[in-house]
Amino acid sequence: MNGVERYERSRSLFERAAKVIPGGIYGSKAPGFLVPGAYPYYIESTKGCRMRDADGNEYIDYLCGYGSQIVGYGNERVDGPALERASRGDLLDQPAPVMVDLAERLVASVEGSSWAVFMKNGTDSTTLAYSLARVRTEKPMAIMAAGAYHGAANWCGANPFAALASDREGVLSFRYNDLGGLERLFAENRGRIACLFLTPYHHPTFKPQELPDPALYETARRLCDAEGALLVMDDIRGNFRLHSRGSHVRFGAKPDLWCMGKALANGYPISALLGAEGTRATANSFFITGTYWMSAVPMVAAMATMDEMERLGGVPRLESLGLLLKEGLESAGRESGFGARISGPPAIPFLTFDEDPDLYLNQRFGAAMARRGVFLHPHHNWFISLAHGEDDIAETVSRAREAFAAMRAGRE
Amino acid sequence: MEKHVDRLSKGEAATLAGIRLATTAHLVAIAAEADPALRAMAPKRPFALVLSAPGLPSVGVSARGGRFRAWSRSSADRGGRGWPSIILRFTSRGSAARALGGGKGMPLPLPLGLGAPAALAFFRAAASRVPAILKDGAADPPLKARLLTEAALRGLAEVAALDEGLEERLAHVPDGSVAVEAGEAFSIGLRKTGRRIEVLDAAPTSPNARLKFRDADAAVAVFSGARPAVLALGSGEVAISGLLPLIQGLFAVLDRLGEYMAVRAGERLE
Repeated sequence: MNGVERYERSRSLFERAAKVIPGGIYGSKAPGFLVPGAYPYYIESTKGCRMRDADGNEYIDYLCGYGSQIVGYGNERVDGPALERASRGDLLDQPAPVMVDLAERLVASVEGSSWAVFMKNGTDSTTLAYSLARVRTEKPMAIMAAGAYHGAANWCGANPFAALASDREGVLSFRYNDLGGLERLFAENRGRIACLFLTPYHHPTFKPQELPDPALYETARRLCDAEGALLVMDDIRGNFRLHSRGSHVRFGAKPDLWCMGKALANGYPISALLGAEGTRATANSFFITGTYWMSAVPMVAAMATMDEMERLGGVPRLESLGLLLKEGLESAGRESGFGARISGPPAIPFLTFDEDPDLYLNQRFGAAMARRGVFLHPHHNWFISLAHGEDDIAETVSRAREAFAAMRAGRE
Repeated sequence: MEKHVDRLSKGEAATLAGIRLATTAHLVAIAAEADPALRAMAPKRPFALVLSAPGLPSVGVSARGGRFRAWSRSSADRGGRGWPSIILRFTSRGSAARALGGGKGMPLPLPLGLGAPAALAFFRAAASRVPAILKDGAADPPLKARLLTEAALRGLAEVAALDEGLEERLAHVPDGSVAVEAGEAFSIGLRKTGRRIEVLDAAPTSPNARLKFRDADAAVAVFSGARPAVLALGSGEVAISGLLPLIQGLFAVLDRLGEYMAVRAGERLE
C-alpha cells in the first residue's frame, strides 16, 4: 500500500483543515516537520504505548504526545481519579484542595524548591520565569543556548520569521557547552543579565543531543552568582524521565527556578514553575493567573501520575528500556552498514546517522518505520514511557532491521 | 506593506525594483530559449542589453550563437556577458519598480552599438511575451513551471539581499544548497551563503536539501499562488527532504517575496 492509500483519510482531513486552520496543522505537529506523505497527520485512538491513526493503521509510539505520556495512554490509575474529579467539577471559582496537595508534593520531590505555581503549557512556565527573573534582578536580559527550545512565545520561539527583532532584544545566546563563550557573554553584559536558561541537557531539533560538559553547571552557578542572575532549569521535556527529584540532580545543577510540564500529569494540561526560597518574595508580588491555570482535573492527574511512576519502576525502568532500544537500533543499523547512533539519555533518545548530517537517512528511516507500524520522529527526540515493555522494544528492533535492510537495498 | 508602488518606503521600493529587474532579465532569457516565435524575432548578431537603476547592481540579457542568457546578482556564472549593445537606465529605483510592474515610466535608452535598436525591439517583445505565456491556459506546463520557478528563485535572491528586515532572520537559516526539481520537466538549484543566494543552472549533485514538485503542474500551482504550499506539501504534490530548516527558512523568505509581488504599479484607485 502506498502513502496515498495508507493515509487517505489523514490527507482528506488535512485538505479540509487547510481551508479553515492556518497551515492545516500548525506548529510542531505540522506535516512539514515529519516526512509529508509518509506519516499520518491525525491520530484517532491510543492505549498504553500503542496508537491508531485516522486511517486505522497501528503504531508503537515513541513520541508519547511529545513526552507528555509517561505511564501510558489511557492509564486507568490516572484517568480514573481524573474523571472522578471531573464529575465533581474541574474549573471552579476557587482552587480545589488538590492544588495544595500537589504543590506540597512537588516541593518535597524537586530538590531545592520551596514553592510552586501552576499553569497550562511549557511556554507559560518559561515566560513567567523570564518575567520573574527580570523583576527579581531588575535587569533586562536572558541568556540561553543557541538552538535550545524554551517555548513558542516570540521572546524565545524557534521561528525567527514570526518575531520582530525587538521581541528578542533581551535574549543572548551561546553555543551549548562552550564555557568560554558563556563566560564572555556574562562579562560583556555585566550588570544586565537577569537569568540563564538551561535545559538539563541539550536537545535541539534536527541535531544529535548533547549531554552537559561536567563543568557546565558549576560554571553556570558561579557566573549567575557573580552577576546576581537566576539560573533557570527548563526541565519541561526531561522532567521525571531523568531523575525523580528533578533532572538537575542527575547533573549536579543548583537552579533558582524550575520549569516543569509534559510528563507531569501524563497528558493532562498542566505545567508548573517552582522556585527556590530566595525567589519567593518576588513570586508573592506577581499577579499570576490564567483562566484555566487552577483547574483541578490535571492536578489530580499529576498526583496520580507520580504515584503510578513509582509503582511502575520510575526512572530506572525507563533507563533500562531506553538502553535496550539504543543497543538494538544501533546494532540493527550496523548490520546493514549504517552509522546509526542514538544520542541523549536513554529515556529520551534520538537517532542520527554519522554519515548524513542533512538527515536524509533519518527521513528515509522514519518513513520506513512508519510504514512498518512504528512511530519514530525523524527530526525531534523520542520518548520512552513506562507503558513500553521489552516485547515492544524487541518488535521495534525487528522492524528496524527490516527497514535498514530495505534502505540498504534501495527499496525504501 | 503598502499595495501600491507609489506608497512604498524607499527601502521597499529598492527591493521591489531589484526583484523586477532580475526577474525580467532572467524570464526574458528563458522565454527566448523556449519560444520559437521569440527566437525568430531575435537579432541575428550577438547583443547584450543591460538594465540599470541607481544603487542596484545591473542586470542584463544577451544572445550569442542562438543561445540566450541573463545575469543578475544571483548568477553563479559571472563571465561571458559581452559588451553591452544598449543600456536601459531607469532614473530611480521607484521608476524601475513601476515601469517593470506594468505602470507608467520609461527607462532612458543609451545605445552603445549598431545592434541597439534590434536588441531593444526584441527585448520589448520578449518582456511582453512572458506575462502572456504565464496567463495562457494552453501554454506548455513545463515552460510555465520553469518561468515561475525562475521568478521565485531570482526574486528570493533579491529579497534576501535587499530587505533589511530579513537580515537577522536569515542569519538563523543554515547555509547550504538546495535542488529544486519538477518531475521530469527540469531540475535547477540554489546555494545560500549568508544573505547571498545564487541560482544554479543545474541541481547540485549532493544538495543539503531537496524541494521536489511531483510534476510541472504542481510547480505552476504553487508558484502561481493557486495552490497553497502547505496544502501541496501535505498532499504529496511537493516533497521536501534533507536539511529542512534550510528549505523552511527560504519558504519564509518566499512569503515576503509574495508580498512584494502583490504590489501594484498601475493607476491608484484610491
